[in-house]
Amino acid sequence: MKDFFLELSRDIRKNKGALAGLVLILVFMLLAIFAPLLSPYAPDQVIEGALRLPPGTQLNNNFFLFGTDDIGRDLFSRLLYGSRVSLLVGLSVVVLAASLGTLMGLLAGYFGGWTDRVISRAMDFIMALPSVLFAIVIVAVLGPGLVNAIVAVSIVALPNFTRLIRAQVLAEKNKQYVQAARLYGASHLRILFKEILPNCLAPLIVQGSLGFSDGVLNCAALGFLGLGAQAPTPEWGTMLSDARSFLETSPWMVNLPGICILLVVLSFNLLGDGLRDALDPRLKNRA
Amino acid sequence: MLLFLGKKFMEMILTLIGITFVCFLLIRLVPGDPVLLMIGERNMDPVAYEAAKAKLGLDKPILVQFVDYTGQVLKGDLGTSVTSKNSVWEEFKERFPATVELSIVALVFATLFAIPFGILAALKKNTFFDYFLMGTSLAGYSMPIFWWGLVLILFFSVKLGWTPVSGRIALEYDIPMQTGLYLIDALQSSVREAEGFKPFWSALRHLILPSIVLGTIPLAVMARMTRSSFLEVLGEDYVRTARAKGLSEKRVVLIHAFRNALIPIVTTLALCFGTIITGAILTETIFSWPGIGKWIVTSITARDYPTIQGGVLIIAVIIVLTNTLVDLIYIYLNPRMKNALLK
Repeated sequence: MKDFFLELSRDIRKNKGALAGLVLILVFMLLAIFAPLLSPYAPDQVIEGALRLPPGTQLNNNFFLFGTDDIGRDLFSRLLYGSRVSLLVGLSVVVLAASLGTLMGLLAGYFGGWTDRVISRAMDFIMALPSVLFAIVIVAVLGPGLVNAIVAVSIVALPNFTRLIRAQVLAEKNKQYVQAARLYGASHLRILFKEILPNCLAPLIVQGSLGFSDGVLNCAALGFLGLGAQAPTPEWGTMLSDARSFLETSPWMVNLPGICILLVVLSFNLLGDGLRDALDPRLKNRA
Repeated sequence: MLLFLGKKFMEMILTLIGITFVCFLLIRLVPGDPVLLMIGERNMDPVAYEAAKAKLGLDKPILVQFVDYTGQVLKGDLGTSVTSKNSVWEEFKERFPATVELSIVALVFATLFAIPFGILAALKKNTFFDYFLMGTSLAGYSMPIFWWGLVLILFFSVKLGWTPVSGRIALEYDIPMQTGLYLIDALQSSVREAEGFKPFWSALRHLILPSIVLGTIPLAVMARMTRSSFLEVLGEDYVRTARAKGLSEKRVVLIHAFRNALIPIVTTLALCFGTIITGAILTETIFSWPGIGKWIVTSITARDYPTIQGGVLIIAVIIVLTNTLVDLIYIYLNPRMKNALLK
């Protein structure tokens, strides 16, 4: 396992795109962690007389690096706190979808038969609807809100993980090491989690990274449609949506959250892409 | 072959039944009384309430309700909108052409740029040009299109004044509906005699920004797919043979390699269909495009559950049918699979 991660870090260092993605992710993580220390104001603090000030404005003793919004809140502080929301959303989506998806994929691939048929069909249903539409339907049932949006986006992400792990299990379960474990009398549980699962790790990491970016993007889209996080939560998609009517007069209110979403999504896609190149033996040999 | 088609058909039917069931459950899972949700009224008198309940069949066992619902759907009865009191199917028919027109133009835009970009990147593999194109396409793939749309509006509509901000056609033109696709309807002889080509240009100008926004992610996905598909094909023996025969590079690339590289590209194009519908929901919201995406979002905010239920069901059915069709096209395009099936 240690070797696996050593090799992985070497591969990432060789791949410029993945490295750039990783650096960006680390920057956003640091910004998110230290948001309370870095932000000059509280995210929902209204500063009197500071309505829609452009970036770099000095007003009395206050300096607004990224300007202010329509009710006089500091955008820099809101964006910093927004990175907390976005990263937390991405993480929750990946943890939820990956754990449940892995479990179902393992069961479907290992036991086959009816278990497989039921799980695979359920995944087909989810995949039959486009991701945001399906998420919208779920939010329509659960009601709008950040937590419900996370649940919806996680359900949408589920088939990717389930199908991936299922395919991996199908490839692994007849290999000699699994048969050997079976001959030794290992239980199904042990074979699944101790023997097969570690061998599914590589594709799972790639999918985790790509799933993270999808999660952030889809939750931001729901926020934009008014179905995700609700005001005054400093969620980037919601901030962007609220700023729409000021597009002409105060474009920074729209552009800054948009750029933040793009950068976070791009960084996880860069990392995921690089990891795929590094971890997929077929691609590796070709290079 | 027949066995395979039968299996595909059965899979499709099963998925359709599943989706119908999910849509059927939708209204029943929403917190609140389904009778009130379907009628769209808050305080009904008890007699009217019981009558409505019986009329909607909500007093029957749930399985009977599902069978009834499926029967209704098969007859084309998708319920009545709470807000407009029109039939959901009629509302859908009215809006669907707008989404179709936008999607087609967006996909044409995406394909026109993606395939040449992908081929060029593959031919110039590992050069600056390749890195630049693939970097840009990854950025395009990561683009929050709801922001991208606003950026384009800000630049092209607000700053330069080149394109309209919203709608399908300038208000001064009243085009008689034939196909519902404005680009075609604007060319009818009656319109041309009265207004010339002006309505057509107006419709086209209204389409530019929304189709760029909607086409961005498919463009990025297809360009990457074209590149990797070409790289794979260019390494094959028959391409080497074609080159060894002394054929020109243009012929090798455009005739020999292209045909075979096309298979995954076509599949990607079809898989983009889901992306397009997702994108249409966002794009139509930004540009006030009167299609089904905006329709669904509006009905969610209005809590118009019969419309959500019917709309989602129709979209899902269209997607399932398209996916099945793509599978069949895929087999048709791939001789190896076709032969294997024919045996």
